Amino acid sequence: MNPRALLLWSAAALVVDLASNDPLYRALVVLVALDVLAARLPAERSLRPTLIAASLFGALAVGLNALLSHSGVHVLAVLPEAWPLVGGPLTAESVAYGADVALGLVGAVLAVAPVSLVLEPHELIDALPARLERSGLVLAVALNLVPGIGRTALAVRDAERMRGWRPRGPRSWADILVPTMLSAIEDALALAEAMEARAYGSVARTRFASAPWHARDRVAVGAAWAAVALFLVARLAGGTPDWQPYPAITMPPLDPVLVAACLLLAVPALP
Amino acid sequence: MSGAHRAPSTHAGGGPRSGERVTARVPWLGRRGLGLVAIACLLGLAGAAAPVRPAAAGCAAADGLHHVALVVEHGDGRILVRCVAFGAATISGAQALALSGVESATSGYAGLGLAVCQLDGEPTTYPPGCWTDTGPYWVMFVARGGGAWTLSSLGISSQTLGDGDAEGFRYDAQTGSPAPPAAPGRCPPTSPPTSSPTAGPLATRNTPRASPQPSPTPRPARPVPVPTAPTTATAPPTMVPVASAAAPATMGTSTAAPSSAVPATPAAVPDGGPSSSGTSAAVPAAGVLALAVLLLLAIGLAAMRRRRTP
Repeated sequence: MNPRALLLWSAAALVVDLASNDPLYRALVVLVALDVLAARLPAERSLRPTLIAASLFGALAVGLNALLSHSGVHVLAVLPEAWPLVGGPLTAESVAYGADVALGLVGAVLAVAPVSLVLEPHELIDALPARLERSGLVLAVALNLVPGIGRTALAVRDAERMRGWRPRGPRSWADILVPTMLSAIEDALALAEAMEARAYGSVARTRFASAPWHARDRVAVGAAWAAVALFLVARLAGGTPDWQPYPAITMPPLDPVLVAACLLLAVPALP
Repeated sequence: MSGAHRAPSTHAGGGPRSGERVTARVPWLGRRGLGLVAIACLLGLAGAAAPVRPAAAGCAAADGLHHVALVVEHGDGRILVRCVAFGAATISGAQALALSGVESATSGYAGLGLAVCQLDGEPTTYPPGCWTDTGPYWVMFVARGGGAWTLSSLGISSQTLGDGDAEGFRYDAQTGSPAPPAAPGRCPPTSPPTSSPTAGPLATRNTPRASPQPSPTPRPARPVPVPTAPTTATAPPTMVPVASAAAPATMGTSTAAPSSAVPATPAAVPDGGPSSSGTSAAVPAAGVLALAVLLLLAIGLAAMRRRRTP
């Protein structure tokens, strides 16, 4: 899939996910994003860390809202009121609203996950408009930075262990941290020299042969932004009222047109 | 946004009680919230400086030593007036609301008290923080001794009312300075004693019947306005006296059943599950949703199978 098309799809899925707080649409966006990731993820990459992180964020949202919000009529349990902040009734409504927030969060994470999991950093730069070339470069370098430092830290730790180092409290980790930071600075200087050697900033950038746009890329982007248009029109026309679980849980509103709009986002997952 | 009236004040009971729809969150109260509380305090001082008038005399319709009037003006103009009787010297706004039988839901703000989120079924639902910065909300006013309405400077749990006072609520669209309720903060005038089904121990304080002369259709001294349908834009206020126990009841539940003399107001709180308006469309909507989920699961499974196949 064309990197620019995938970037546009991610932006569209993010807008749809945030256009309404209806948990049904958000759940559909989560499913759609999982489908696209399953279809487009390179074989050597795993979705598991992203899913674990998204699940943790979601569980945190549910737990925090259940503990801190005591509104709602269906009381599940009551914590002692002497407990600061969390004391009071735990209600089904607060759990439901926490789950709604969690769905939005997980949907947003999965909508932008293809940007980092499917695309290579150079593809990301290439996908951005020429005006955002420098921003894209910074983004690509940043995306490379975290895993690069992680790899360096693991290598330093293994080397130190071979020399008899064992973790003994926080102070002992300075033996790992200092070489890791020095290596990171060294890598940054090497990267800067490499970029300068390639005439970065002096003339118009050179580029790979841009990935071509195929008909299916155009269809995928068109369908995704048609979904965005449907959601925005419905929103402006008052057709997507926000779902409010308080004071008592109600069935979230569901519009078949907007369900179809969510399905339009799944075009990139089709064979 | 004028949050003075909704500025919740210190919860009289310390923390939310079990069974109340009370939240302990304070995300809304930032610097702006504190500023609004300060404005509310100034308004409250101004209200307190107003001359105290004699107690209104027109509140004997409900049984009890003391009376306060409750005025609720809905967003569509419907007005509900209740008279609450109580035995203690003073009563909190929250207690008066609970005694009135008007359905209500409140939201507490840690250390600041209760704000009103829902009254008499309006709004049917509300956001987690009880209100938004731009949406409509319940504005609280207080009238002392039958005087003019003043914006409340406290939350209902901290607002103290005495005999002849009134608390008023108006569902304001938050488009400007909130206007007070159209109805005055007075109990309905004395009406001839009727067969009050809720006459309690203090009912003996009522004017005794002059004579047991049969009267086939006793007409009240002043016609009692009949509650209007919710669709009516503006209507005369509903004036229904509500007798109560001698002492203020504790705030047990925020949803109180209206007295038998009060025509039922629209259902306030859906009891879970689909709302009645969406029931007819629930089945096809659920079918569409189920189809969509099945389709997406099939697409996902096919994608995973393709991925495993070299």
